[in-house]
This record gives sequence, C-alpha cells and structure tokens, in this order.
Amino acid sequence: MMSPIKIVTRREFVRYGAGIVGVGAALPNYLIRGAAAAETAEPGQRVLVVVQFNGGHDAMSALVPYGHPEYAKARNVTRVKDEEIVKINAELGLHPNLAGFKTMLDEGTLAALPGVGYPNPNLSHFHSTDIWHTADMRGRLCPAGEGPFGWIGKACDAAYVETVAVDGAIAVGTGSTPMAMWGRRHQGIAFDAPEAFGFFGNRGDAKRGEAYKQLHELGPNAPGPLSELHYVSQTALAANATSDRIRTLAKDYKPTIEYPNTGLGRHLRTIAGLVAGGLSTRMYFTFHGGGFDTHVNQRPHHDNLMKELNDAIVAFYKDLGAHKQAHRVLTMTASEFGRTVKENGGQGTDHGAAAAMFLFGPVKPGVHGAHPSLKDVFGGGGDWLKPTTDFRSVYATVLEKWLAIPSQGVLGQQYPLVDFLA
Amino acid sequence: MRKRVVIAGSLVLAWVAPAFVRAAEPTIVEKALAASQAANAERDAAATALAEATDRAANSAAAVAAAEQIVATAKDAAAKAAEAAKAAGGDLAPLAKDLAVKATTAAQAAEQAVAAAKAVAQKLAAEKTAAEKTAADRAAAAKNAAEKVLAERAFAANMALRQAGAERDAAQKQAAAAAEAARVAGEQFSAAQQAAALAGGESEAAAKALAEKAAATTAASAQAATEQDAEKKKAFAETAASLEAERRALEQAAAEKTNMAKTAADNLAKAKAALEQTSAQRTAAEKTAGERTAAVAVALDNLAVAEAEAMGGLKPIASGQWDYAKARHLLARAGFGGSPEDVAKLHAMGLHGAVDFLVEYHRQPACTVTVDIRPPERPLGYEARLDSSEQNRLNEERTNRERVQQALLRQWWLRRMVETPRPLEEKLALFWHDHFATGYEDKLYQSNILLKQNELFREHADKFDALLRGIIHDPAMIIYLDNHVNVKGRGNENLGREVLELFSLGRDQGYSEQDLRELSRALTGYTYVPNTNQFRFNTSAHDEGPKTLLGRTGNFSGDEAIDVILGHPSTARYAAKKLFEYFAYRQPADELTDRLAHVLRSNQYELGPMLKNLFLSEEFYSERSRGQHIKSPIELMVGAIRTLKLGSVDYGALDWQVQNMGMTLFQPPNVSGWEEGRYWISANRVLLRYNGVANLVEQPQVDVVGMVQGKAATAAELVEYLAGACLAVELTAEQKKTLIGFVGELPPGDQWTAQRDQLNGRLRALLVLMMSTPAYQVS
Repeated sequence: MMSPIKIVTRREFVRYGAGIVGVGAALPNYLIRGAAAAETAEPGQRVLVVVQFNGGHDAMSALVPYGHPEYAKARNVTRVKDEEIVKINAELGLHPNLAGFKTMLDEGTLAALPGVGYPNPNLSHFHSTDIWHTADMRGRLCPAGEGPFGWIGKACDAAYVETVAVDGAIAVGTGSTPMAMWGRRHQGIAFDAPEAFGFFGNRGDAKRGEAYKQLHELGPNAPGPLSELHYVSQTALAANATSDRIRTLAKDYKPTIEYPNTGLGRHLRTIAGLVAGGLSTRMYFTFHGGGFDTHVNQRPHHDNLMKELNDAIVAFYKDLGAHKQAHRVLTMTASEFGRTVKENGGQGTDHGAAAAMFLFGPVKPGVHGAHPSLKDVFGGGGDWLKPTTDFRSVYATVLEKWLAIPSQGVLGQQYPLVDFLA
Repeated sequence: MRKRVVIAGSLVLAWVAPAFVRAAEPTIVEKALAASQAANAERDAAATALAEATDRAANSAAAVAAAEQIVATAKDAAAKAAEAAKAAGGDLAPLAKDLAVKATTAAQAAEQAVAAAKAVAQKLAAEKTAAEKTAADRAAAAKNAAEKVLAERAFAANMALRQAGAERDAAQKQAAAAAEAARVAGEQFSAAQQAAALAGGESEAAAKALAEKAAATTAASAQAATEQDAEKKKAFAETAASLEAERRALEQAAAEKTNMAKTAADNLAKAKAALEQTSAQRTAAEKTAGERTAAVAVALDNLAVAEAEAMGGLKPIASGQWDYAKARHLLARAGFGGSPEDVAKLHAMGLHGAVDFLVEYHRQPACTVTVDIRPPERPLGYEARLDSSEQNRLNEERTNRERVQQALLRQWWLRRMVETPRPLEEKLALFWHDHFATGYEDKLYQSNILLKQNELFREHADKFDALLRGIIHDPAMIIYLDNHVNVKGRGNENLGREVLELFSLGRDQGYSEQDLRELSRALTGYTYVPNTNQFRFNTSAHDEGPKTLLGRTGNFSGDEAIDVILGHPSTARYAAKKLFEYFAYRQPADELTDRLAHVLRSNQYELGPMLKNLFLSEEFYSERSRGQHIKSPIELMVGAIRTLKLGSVDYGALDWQVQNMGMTLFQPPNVSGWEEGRYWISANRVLLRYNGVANLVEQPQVDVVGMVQGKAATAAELVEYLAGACLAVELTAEQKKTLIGFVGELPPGDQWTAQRDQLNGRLRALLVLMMSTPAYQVS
C-alpha cells in the first residue's frame, strides 16, 4: 500500500507528483483523489463558456446586415425589418429580441464577429459539427491515434501536462461527452442535469452508501497499473469525487436573479453555480437547444430562439456580476454553419456557410471584422456567405489571450489572432 | 514449416495410442513422415540440379555472347577488307580482293559457330526451364507431403479419440452393469439381514420358553418329592411328568430354531461377501470408466493440438486446466455472459464440449424474435418533384416514421442478444456490424435496408468470404459509401477505398492508391434500384476494361476483384487480428495473429475452426486476456440481464440507456465503427453504467435467493459464490470483508424460502454493490 500522504490541491500534486509519475502514466489513487476532488479555483482564474447552437444558425437574422441592399431583396418573410432592428451602426443591427445585447454592448461586454467560417464548407450537420469541435477538417475520420480529438480536450492536454485535471472541462446539458472535449488524456465531464450526475444505486440506504464508498476507496484490485481495470477504477474515483461536489454546488447555489426556465437558462444557471462555487474548471460547453435548423417557417421560431438567448445570457451576466465573477467569465457562441442568403420556398433558409459569433464578458466591445458581402457569394446554389474570419482564429485568440494556452499544438498550426478581447 | 513438421513427427509417436506404436506395420503417420522425408530429399536434389542447370545455361549464354563478339569482329574485318579492296588499285587489287573474300568466309564460319553455340544455349536453357519446373514440383510435393504428415497426425489423433471414445463407452457400460450387480447384491444382503434377525429372534424365544418349562418341571418334581399326602403327591408327579414331556418337545423345537438361525447367519455372511465383492467390482469399473473418460479428454486435447499444428494455429490448453472461471470467461467473450447456473452448465460440458457448444451454434435452435420493418412509402427523392410545403410535410412524415422504425430495429436486436440460444451468432453479427459499419443518419434514412444488411451479417456470421462478397451487393453499404454514383468514366472511390482499407487488407497492408482505383473501376455499376432497394448490376455503367489489382490482371468484375482480394495474405491476417482483438485482447503479437490467419485461410475463410482454435488457446485464457476487456455498453447491459435472468425487460429503456452510454445500434460513429476499450469509460459514463446496472438489479423480479440457494450458507460463501459468477477479477480481501460485513448474519437455510422477500432485498443490495464497481466493467 502507498503511504497515506494527503495531497489536496492540484498545485501540491504537481509539486509532489510530477517526480513520481510520468505524463500519461496511471496515477496512484490518492493523487487522483487529491487532484480531482476538492480543488478550488485560484483567485481570478479565467473561465470560458461555449454556447453551441445546433442545427446551423441564420446569424443574418441575429446580427442583421440591413445596410446591405441585397438583404431586403433576398429576404421576404424571414426578414427583420428596418423599423424592428436595434441598430448598432449604419450597416448592422440586432434582432429586436436581442435588446439586452445592445445594453451589454453599450456597457462594454459584448463583441460580435460577423462572417466566421472556414474554406470549403461541409454542409452536413454531422460533419461540420465535427469540424467545429475538432478544428480538424477530417473531423472524426482521423486515422486512429490522431483523433478525433476536440479542441477543448486538446487544450486541457496542453494546459495540464504533468497531471490530469478530471474536471478541466465540463459539458452541461448532454449525457454524452461532446467531441470538442475529447482529449488524448482528458475526457472532461458531461451531464445532462447536475442532479442526475452521480451514483444513485444506494437508494438512500446509508449502510449501503458506506459500503459503496469503502469499496471504491479500497483501490483497484488489479496488479498492473496499465490494466484496463486500473483505468476504470481511477475514472470512477474521479467521477465519485467530482459528481458529489458538482451536485452539491448546483443544489446549494443561490442565484441573485431568476433565470428563465429554458434549457439554456437552466444550463447557464448551473454553470454560474459551479463558477461562483469555486470549481477549478476552466472550460464549459453547453447548448442552446430548440433547433436552429430553420428550413421551414423560420421567423416566429427564430424570434423565440433569440428571446431565449437574450434572456439567458443577460441573466447569466447579471448574476455573475452580482457574485463578482463576471470579470473572469468569457462566453462565446458557435454553430456548425450559417444559412443561405436567399429564403427558400418554405419561408425558411437552407444550410449555408459563414455566420456571426457573439462574445460576452471582458471583451473589446463592438464589431470585429467585416460582414461578408451579400453579393459576392459562393457555393452550390451560389448563395453562401464567404467567411471573413476563420473560426480557428477565434479559438486561437481565446486560447492564447484568454486562457493562456498555446494554440498551435491544439489547432495544428498558428492562426492569426483577432483583437476582440479587453 | 519444415522444422515444425519434424517436431510434429516426433511428437506424434508419443501421442498416438500405444496400439499404433506397437504394431509391426509402420503407422500411417510414420509412412507419411517417410514420404515427407523422401519428398524433401527429392526437393533438395531438384534444387541442386536446378542450380547446376542454371550455371550451365549461364555459361552457354556467355559462350554465345563471346561468339557473337567474334562474328561482329569478323564482319567488321570483312567490311573493312571489302572497302580496302574497292579502294585498292593496281597490283594490290587482287590481293585485297582475296583478303576480302577470306575475311567474308571467316565471318561466315564464325556465324555458323554462333548458330551452333545458340543451339546449345537453347538446349541448356530448355533444360534449365525443365529443372525449374521439376524443382517447383518437388518443392510443392515436399510441402504437400509435410502437410500430409500433419493431416495424418490429426487423423491419427482423431482415430485415437474414436478408440478412446469407444473404450470409454464400453467402460461406462461395464460400470453401469457393475453398479446394477452391486445394487442387486445390496438388496439380497438386506433380505438376508432381515431373515437372520427373524430367525435369531425365534430361536431366542424358543430357548426362553424351554427354560421356563424346565423350571416349571423342576418345581413340580420338587413339590412331588416333598408332598406327604399320597394323592396330592401323585397328582404333582403326574404334572411333573407331563411338564417333562412338554419340555422335551420344546427342547426339540428350540434345537430346530437354533439350526435355522445358524443357517440364516450363514446366508447373511454369504450375502455380505457377495455385496463386498460386487461393490469392489463397481468401484473398479467406475474407476476404469473415469480413467477412460479422462483418456477421452486427453485424446480430445491431443486432437486439438494436432489440428492446431496441422493448421498452424494457436496452442490449446489441456482439459485438465478447464475450470469454472474459464467457463465464465468463455461465456462472457464468446457470448454475452450468463447466470451462475449457465456458467455451471458450460463448465460441466468440459473444455471441448463447451467450445463446441458455442461455436457450432447452428445445432442450437435459432432465435425466433422478429421485427416488422416496412420499406419507405415513397422512394427517396420522390419529394423533390413536389412544391416545398408538401415536400416538407412528407419529409417530416418520413422522418418520424423512420425514427420509430429505427427504435424498433434497435430494440429488436437487443432483445435477440438477450434471448438467443446462439449467443456467438449475435456476438459475431455485432462484430460484423462494427466491421462493415453502416450508419443510418445523414444518408440512408431507411430502416428496411439496414435490417436486410443485419440479416446478411447473421446469415454469414461465420463465413468471412461470403460477407465480403455480400457487402458489395448490399444496398445499404452501396448508398452509405456512394457506390451508386461510381460509374464508368466518373469513378467514386469511397467503397473501393474502404473495402481495401477497412474491410479486407487493412490500412497500409500491401495495396497502393493504384490498386484502390482499379478496384473502384471493378466496382462500377454495382448499384441499387431506388424504388425497391434491390441490388442491381448496371452493365452500362460498369467499366469492362482490364484492371490490374494486387498484381493480377484481368477484366475483373467486382466479384472477381473480391476473389483477388481474398487470395491476398493480408486479408486473412487483418480479419484474424480484428477477431482476436474482439474476443481476446488488444494488440496481440503478429506471430499469434499470423497463426490464426493461417487457420482462417486453410479453412477458406470459414470462421468455425479458427474460433475453436482461439477459444481453446492458451492466449485466450491468459492473464493478458482475462479481465482485460472493457465491456461495451451492450456487453455490460445485455450481460447483466442474462446474469440476473430477467424475464421481462423494457427494451425501450435498455436502448435509451446503451445510447446514453455511447452505443447506438445502426449508428456507429463512422465507417470505421466504434472505438473500443477505454473509449467507453468517462467520468459520467462510469456512473451511467453503475446506475444502469443498479436499476436492473433492483427490479423485484430479480430472485437472488433462488440464484444462491443451496450454493452458500454463510455471508462469506455467498460473496465468494456471487463474485465468482459475476466478476472477471478477484476482489481484494478488504473488498470481500466490506461485502461480507454488509450482508451480515444470514438466517438458517431452511428459513430462506419463508423470508425470501426480505432476504432478496438485502441480496439485491449486495449485487448492486458488487456490480456497481470497476471490477464489473471488465470481462
């Protein structure tokens, strides 16, 4: 048996542990326990939150290029009319339901990047999502050993070289781990709702709970540290340690404001609780569900999506502000692609290419980069916006300037940075 | 190869039943061995002859070249002389002319010499070719002879097995007869015991009566002697005389009874002796039968070894090493696990019986669970002709309908895995679904063709060649990998690429980009009929030109191209390695999978012999294999259901759970299938797996008491028994202690039935603790 050294923080772990175990080697249980269970964020530790819009967002209906004459020509039923638009300059304006975004812009906590995408777009939801998650054009078709790895997972690998931070990244709102979080050594944690993340086989029986705890603390029952059993044992230890903390933090959290009772509202409330509770997690991933794949009858549906987005983000930052956390939380939106410039016959829009992203928190407020031309378009139907900013440049900026993680190893090459951070 | 033959030859003499060795005539194995040695000698002689012929041909070719050089020189000289003759004037002209004629003659002579040398060279070259053919023939003959040795050895082992089987059957018959004799003798002994007891009792009673009578007689005589009154005296004397007469009679009877008792005692002694003798005979016969049964196991072991040698396969374990834990391992890997009782049954079959039971699954009744999946009401693309609102409505209708069908299809397959009497069949179908991965999303949107593909995987689950041929005719695969747009002149290499890279040879295993293009050309025109989803060979789209694939050239069709691929050694190697990794462990040494590949190829890609060889092998039961496989979500959940013997299962919930754990049937992540192993394990998935299994265990229908009754009396025995049945790895002493402490004192066995419900509650909690552990995640 190992001597029972008590190591409670990852910093101490690195100090004591780095000499004992090599990178990628199996860690003794007490180290995993220490590293996983009870670490608290360093003061001011920066946090990134990614909000994914599944389905391909018609960002032209969110950051509206009303100053381009082609917009009114291309759009009829789906058009956000001039009189509705919350104008931010002579070219662009916000959807009326994003009025809260205008306030944030005025307060200096919102940045918009129009026309984000990548060359040779893939219009399959499946594959383009993979591309956004992996920052690799091969997506999940990487040969074994090369991937697929997600950009957040790889960022964790790069940030925690000497150890494994089991809670380095957390996805809220999904039972399975998003590909973005698949690292070589880091798996991240994903749960649909925090209250469901845990072991519930004890059925409220204290005696059984005690036995469960003992059985898992006794350590792996296989000799080889590289055995599959050892790997499972370590992961289980980490899961037991973190799930209790996450459930408790989420349950005990007292938001200063009532969050909207929507999927995104609930997920952001959970994240606020974990951030304010001091969890050391640096990257969160969550979803604005409800369906952005607006082929049909787009306008009323999209209006509603915008309202949900506005209300959840505004509540999130108000709450974080009240908890004195807003300065250390950067949030960004992402979607696998934008949509066609022209409306289709079903009062909707079809899969397109470039789309706008929003960033919230400690940003340089305003619009960064040019909105793509609505005239000089490309693609199969000749109807896709050309990207003016590569999404990997956005990732690179966030990694390097916000999280202080070198981006080249994560993204495969050095992408030019975009100047949108405060 | 040759080395192995020699070893095999010496081993066989030791293995074959003594009768074969003692026979004056050489055994067939010895004959084959002698033939093999002779063939080897001939092969070596032919090789030497070939080397000599090659030398001679080379020398002769050199002679031809030298002669040709001379001819060239002579011709050159003649030409120069002719020119000199032309140029020469006056007196020199005749001389020059003469010289020119001589030079020409010399050149002609040299040419004749070359012709002669060429004739010799041709002859020698022909001899060399003949020697080459002879050498090749002899080498082939030597190889055949060597293989014959191995085959004969396997045959001899088979004969020995038959003999051993016959001897066992005879011994078992004798043992049965001896047991019957002993039973009869036992009955006779009991009867004799009763008779002796009865006779003894009667004899004692008679003796007692006699003694009483004698006492009465003596008393009467005494009274007669002392009586004064004459009349009374007379009366007493008469009484005494009468009593004396009775006493005599009794004395006679007692003597008879004593005799009878003695006879009965004698009979008893005889019956006892007979019983002892027949019992001894029975014991001896049973011992013989046991020995003969053990000899059959040894003969089976020998046969497995001989067959493994003959096919170049993996080394098998011996029957003596077969135990309950190995049976549990086999059932978990070759199937989906089972209840403690299922494992015990498999264990009782013996090593070879158990492997045969699982691999020869066609002998078991087929699973009868069916599903009703309908083709789409309208073909794909039909909507394109409609206006957009109608298009959207129909699209939505189609999507919803297919979503329901997909769920039905997944649940149907899960249920088959739970209920099938042929677990290996479903396990193989799952393997092929992963190998020839085809996903529903994005391209197919049709459940009926996935069902059809699934039936292909099941029908040919143990025939790799048939599957590879079938998959290029499979509409689902054709659509999934775009082969319907692979037409002559406008090729699409998607299917061709994956056939080589993922389905047959394996990435970087001996094919080039050019091979890939040629295969894709061979696959042109392999399409399907959209309305019916039937395969169709479109001759006008097929490229009929010659193709060169893996070094072979011909006007290959797709099917002929598959034949070429099946002839390539990498194909069997790749399939064997994937199967080894699926059933045994990851990243095996090449030497091991080469052996397995050899078995696969020598059986024309039929999996049965290869799987038997694998499931008997030392590697399969090695430390590297046991407890070293992380269960897939389906192995985990289906395995738990089978272990717990759940009669009623909510397949909708089960499907939902395994999907959450990362495994959606008919939707592998991509064409290369699921990542296995650690991929299944993450912080949230570990807990999902724990909770999923705990929910199964906590169902009221789980009768743990029924499972353990009669197998364990104390908490320690209970923990030992359940852990042995459910877990692939040994629990630590501390873990056992925790579990034993949790169970606490058990009621006496006769009260279990009465306290069943209460006890089941406690034992289900024990199972939750045992199965919601890292140990239960591996098999």
